[in-house]
Amino acid sequence: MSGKILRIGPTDNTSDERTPRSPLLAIPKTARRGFAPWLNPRPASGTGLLDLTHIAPGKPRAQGSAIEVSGRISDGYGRPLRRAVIEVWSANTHGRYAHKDDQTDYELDPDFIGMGKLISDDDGGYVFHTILPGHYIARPDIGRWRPRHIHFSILGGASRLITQMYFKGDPHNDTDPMRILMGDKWEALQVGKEYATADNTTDVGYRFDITVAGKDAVFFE
Amino acid sequence: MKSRDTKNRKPLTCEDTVGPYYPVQFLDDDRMDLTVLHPGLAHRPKGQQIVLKGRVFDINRKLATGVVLEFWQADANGMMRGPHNIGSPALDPAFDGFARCRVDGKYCLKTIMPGELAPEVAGEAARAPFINITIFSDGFSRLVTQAFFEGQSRNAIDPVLQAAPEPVQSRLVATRLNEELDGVPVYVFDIVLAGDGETPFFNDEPILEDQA
Repeated sequence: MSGKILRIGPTDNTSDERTPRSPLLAIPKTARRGFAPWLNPRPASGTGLLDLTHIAPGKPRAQGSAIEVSGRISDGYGRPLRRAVIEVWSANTHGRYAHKDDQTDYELDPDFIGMGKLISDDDGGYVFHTILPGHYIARPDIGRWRPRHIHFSILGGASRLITQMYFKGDPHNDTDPMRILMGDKWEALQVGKEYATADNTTDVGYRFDITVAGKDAVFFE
Repeated sequence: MKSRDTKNRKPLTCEDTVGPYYPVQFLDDDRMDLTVLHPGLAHRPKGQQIVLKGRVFDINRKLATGVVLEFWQADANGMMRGPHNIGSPALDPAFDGFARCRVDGKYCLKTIMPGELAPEVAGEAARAPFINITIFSDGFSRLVTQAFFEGQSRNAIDPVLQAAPEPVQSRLVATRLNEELDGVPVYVFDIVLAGDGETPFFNDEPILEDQA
């Protein structure tokens, strides 16, 4: 466990500028607690489905293909992570984020924000509707693309995870620096599994189950 | 601690970078002032109010933009909230210990000086006062470190601080400024992500029984 050295993504200048060069220090067994926040389960939201395909009732549907994304969050033993905060965000169908810091020339869709929060249910499950995000060129100077992806942040219990769900078949998957660092695990763990949705409000569904370490939670069984 | 069958564990989802566009509005419900649970409340947590501030640098000593910082600490009684102490009368009800922000390289947290942690779980060591800091940024997935405080006698025997090699230990200790901010002592804790003066970071991946 000790001496883990973080790797730097190929063709990723920010990674080069910000990744520590020294090995990560091992934490003594007597002091493992306190490295991840432990947060109470959130009250059930009761607001129904998070639907990012419309910014408000009565507004036009966002441009692009509407998709459903669903899954279950559990720890390594399969126990559900109940009522955790899930934050999701992604680019629009053109590959542009509705974020003040995204200054690219990709088209901004006035009917898409693409950022939302939801709470996992008592079985750790979640579901939301959004638009299939576009891929985009992240570094035009070196020709580096980001394939289609949706960002996820999971905050609850003693877990703290930020990850991304990817889509099979994107031509830029194989050259993505993060995907390269993940190696063989990427396809099984990080790619949404396609399924047919029950109604016609979305074109297709993607199942993305998430397994969190629970960090120091293992010490409190 | 119960021994578990570690062979059948499910593989963990990979950590991935937060990227440069973490939504700013997600932080609307979060605070960088832990001395009030909500601005509308009169309750104040126990303990000495302090300010912890600092900068986050990249390898070129430029301020790192778009960085998400999360802070997690014990209350003045040295109680860090966890599943083992829910409902404990020793927990300060006016203090929750979790703060977060997205900054362009400069942060400022108003809080209280955490207490010394007494061992609450079997096998745990006593701890010097510390604030845990988690860092998310474009370019890496997640980093964790802990800020200690100048002048605390228990620093000399804190197992986490002492896990850092002696030449770099001082990088984990916040220094007290001579000036105060609205009468509150100010501590400075700069974070260097990479290169000269690099901050020590910790590996908090779970230890499996068969590796421990």
